[in-house]
Amino acid sequence: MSQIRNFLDDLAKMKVFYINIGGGEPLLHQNFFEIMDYAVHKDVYVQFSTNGTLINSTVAAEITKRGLRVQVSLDGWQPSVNNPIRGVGTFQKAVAAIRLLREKNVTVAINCVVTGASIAGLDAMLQLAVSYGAKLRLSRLRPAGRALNQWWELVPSREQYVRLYQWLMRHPEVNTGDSFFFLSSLGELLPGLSFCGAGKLTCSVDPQGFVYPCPFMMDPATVIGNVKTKPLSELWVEAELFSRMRTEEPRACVGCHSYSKCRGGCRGASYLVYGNWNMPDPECVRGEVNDKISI
Amino acid sequence: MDSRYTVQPGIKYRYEQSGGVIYRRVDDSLHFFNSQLVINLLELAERGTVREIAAKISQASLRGRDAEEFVLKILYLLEELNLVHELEPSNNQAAGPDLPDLADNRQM
Repeated sequence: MSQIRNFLDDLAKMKVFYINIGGGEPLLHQNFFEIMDYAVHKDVYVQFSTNGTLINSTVAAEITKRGLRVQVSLDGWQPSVNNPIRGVGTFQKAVAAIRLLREKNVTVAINCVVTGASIAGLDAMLQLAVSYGAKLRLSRLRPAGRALNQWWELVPSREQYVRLYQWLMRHPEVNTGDSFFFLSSLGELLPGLSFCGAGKLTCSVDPQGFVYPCPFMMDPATVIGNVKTKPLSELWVEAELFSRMRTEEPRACVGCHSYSKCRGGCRGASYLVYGNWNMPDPECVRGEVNDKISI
Repeated sequence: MDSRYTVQPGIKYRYEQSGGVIYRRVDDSLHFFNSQLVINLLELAERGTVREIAAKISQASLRGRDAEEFVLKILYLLEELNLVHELEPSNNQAAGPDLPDLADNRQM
């Protein structure tokens, strides 16, 4: 706990606005609420992602007391869409958790990873969220974790991404965690950041304390240090990788008239697909860049 | 007519090397600006009127630009983004500005 407190002290010093805690399942940590208490004390906002299975009335009340925000994962508006992805019975458990949390007035976002199958049901997802008094948050599918072996089957087509962009423009109230800024090259800028924040505005820290540019580049080759041995405030400034990420641009994007809107897209997606973060987004919707790259 | 402004509740901000970033709690949105002046203006909220703040910033460094017009443009943008709002006139305006010395190396 002292290491965690030191870490939170450092984040407060850096004026970190908020931390997102994911997993695994954060509620499994035996000191979860003690950690949350300290984060609240340091005025570092916290939101965490959960599958909802450990949420009961008591836990919901503890969450309310601390003003925490919760993202409950749900990848479909009904069991037949969600459960093949997230597991048998997960839809009902997630919905039960959302109800409990909302009864306690917890700010809840339903976090949905967008696949080719779910784009057709975005209105239904939004309606589901609204019906529970929750927000909807859409995340981009990246070839990582359990999606790695099925990415090509699940990833939206270019046409589906165009529909997603149009839908997001109609629904600025839907949060995306800045996942879809690469779609801004299709027209007007989507709300939020229009560039990848990895190593510039955000980073990720794993349970062992290793620091990475983002959750999609958690690879030994992209570690910049460990917060148990050096404060993040120092790593943040000294890391050569972060320095490069703040200044370098994908060469293949040079000359693209859309570059100012997307800055080459998601560095994590590039790293996962090409093994190189300094390549253009593998799902560049302009299509011009991918014509130049032979994979 | 001169006016005062304040930062909306639930807003956090900080300087970055190449500008500044603002976080709005109500919708978890992040806004990045290429100018540190934006963060300057948030720090100076309520400490003077718009004209007083513009004059102070102009003294520090605005490289010959029309300070008041520039400041108003940025404040208008911040208001559009629901990051600041104009304050109702109050009797406290007679007390004068409480503006710090801006003689530092902040980029404008």
